[in-house]
Amino acid sequence: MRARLQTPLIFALLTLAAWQAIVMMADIPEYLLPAPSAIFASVDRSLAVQLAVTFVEALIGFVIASALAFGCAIMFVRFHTLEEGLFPIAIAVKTTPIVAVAPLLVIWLGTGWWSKIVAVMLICFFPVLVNAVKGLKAADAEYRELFQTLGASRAQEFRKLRIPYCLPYLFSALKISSSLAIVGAIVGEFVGHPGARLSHHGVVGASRNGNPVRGDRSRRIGGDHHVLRHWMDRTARHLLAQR
Amino acid sequence: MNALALTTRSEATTLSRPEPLIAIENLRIRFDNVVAIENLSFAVARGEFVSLLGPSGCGKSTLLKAIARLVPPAQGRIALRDPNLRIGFMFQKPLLLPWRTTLDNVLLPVEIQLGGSVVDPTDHSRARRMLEMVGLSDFTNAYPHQLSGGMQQRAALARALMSDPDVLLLDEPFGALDELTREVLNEELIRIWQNNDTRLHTIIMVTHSIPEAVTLSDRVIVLTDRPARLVEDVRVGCPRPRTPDDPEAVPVMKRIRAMVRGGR
Repeated sequence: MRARLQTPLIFALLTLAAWQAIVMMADIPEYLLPAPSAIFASVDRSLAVQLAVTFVEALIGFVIASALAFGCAIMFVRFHTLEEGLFPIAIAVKTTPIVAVAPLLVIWLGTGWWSKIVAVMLICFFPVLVNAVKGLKAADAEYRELFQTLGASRAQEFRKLRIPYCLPYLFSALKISSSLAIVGAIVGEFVGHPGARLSHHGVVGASRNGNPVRGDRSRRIGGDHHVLRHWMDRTARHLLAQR
Repeated sequence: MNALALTTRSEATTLSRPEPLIAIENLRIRFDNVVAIENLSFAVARGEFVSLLGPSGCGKSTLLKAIARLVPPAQGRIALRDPNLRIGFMFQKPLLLPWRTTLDNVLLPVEIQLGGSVVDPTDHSRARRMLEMVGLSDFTNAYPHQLSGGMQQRAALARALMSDPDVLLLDEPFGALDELTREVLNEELIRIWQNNDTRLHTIIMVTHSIPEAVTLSDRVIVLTDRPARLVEDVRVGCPRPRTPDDPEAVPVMKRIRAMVRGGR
């Protein structure tokens, strides 16, 4: 384990050192590119909290999306009609940029956890789906014939052949979508967040250097004005009025 | 020509034999617009070793898959005397699951039959006995990638025997192996077919090697190029054990070679 960490660690330190050296030698002003030392100096306890919040959002979205995508992939491979019908829709959803959808998510779901989690899910779902479908179909036709000659059921074919065969595909997909999950969470926070989150720090120092746009606008879009809560309030009032 | 060593039976006399184990009647199989097998009839009796011989791509494998019920016939039928006849299948490729050890690969048919992953100790000991039979006792815990091509096919044979078949269908089982390994494995196949430790009594094998067909089989079914039709049903009368250089076998091989050439 130590040997595996050593090399990346050394390269990370070298990169930081080079960054520091360039900033210092070229005398680049902090508002253009702060040196690593300046960034570390500004780190406080709130960053850790916000980091944790973003991480948890990303993790929950990632887990739900991956599980859903894998379930979908099994259904797609089992029932070909589903794949034919739903894959184009999945592609359409994927093609819509997450930055375009994120503000809508805030309007629909509010500024709380769920708008971020759904943003993460939208971005994580597709890579897992595509790779899992590919992996579940990866076993040679001859292997399936072997299972047929042994009298295996469809469920056994999935459990003992297709799913184990799919695992390498699945893990490479999870590798891709785990990093996308962080992007999804930050985009979700970017367009609407009630309080402190990582995106405050995201563009390092920007909000500290007098650029308060995001926080205020998101508060205006989100807060109590989002459609879903409005609709629920209205329905609740109607119901109460009828009684 | 040695008349004793070579008797040729016509389709009609083969069919008229009493109660064959497997009877193929007027079989026709097609894939989309390609006719793979056309009007084919022959029968296999209990205890026989029958080879299907023909040019590669002629539909021999399709015929074998049809007997295993993997491919439906377009016309005609494949009749089994006993509907509970157990049929084992062995492919040209070993098709071992790479994440399972040799022993676990051999146990796969049992797991599938039981419907779960729980395998009792008697199955374990039976799997070990199968591996012993094919000479792989020392490799029960090896993974497929650690085995040579010949060993992988041995493991596949043990797996095919694990489902305790009456009939074994072999689709060029050792075709991808080198000549020496192939000869050794063919001898072991005959030994397993002849010994009474297993239920196995009948073997149908696809091959495109004339010496292999003649050395192993009681009968050689010679087929034409696609669509596969029967050229001749050759009875190999040479005494066992045989080798490809037996003087009795040579004229049979010559005769079959002439048929294959002329059959196109």
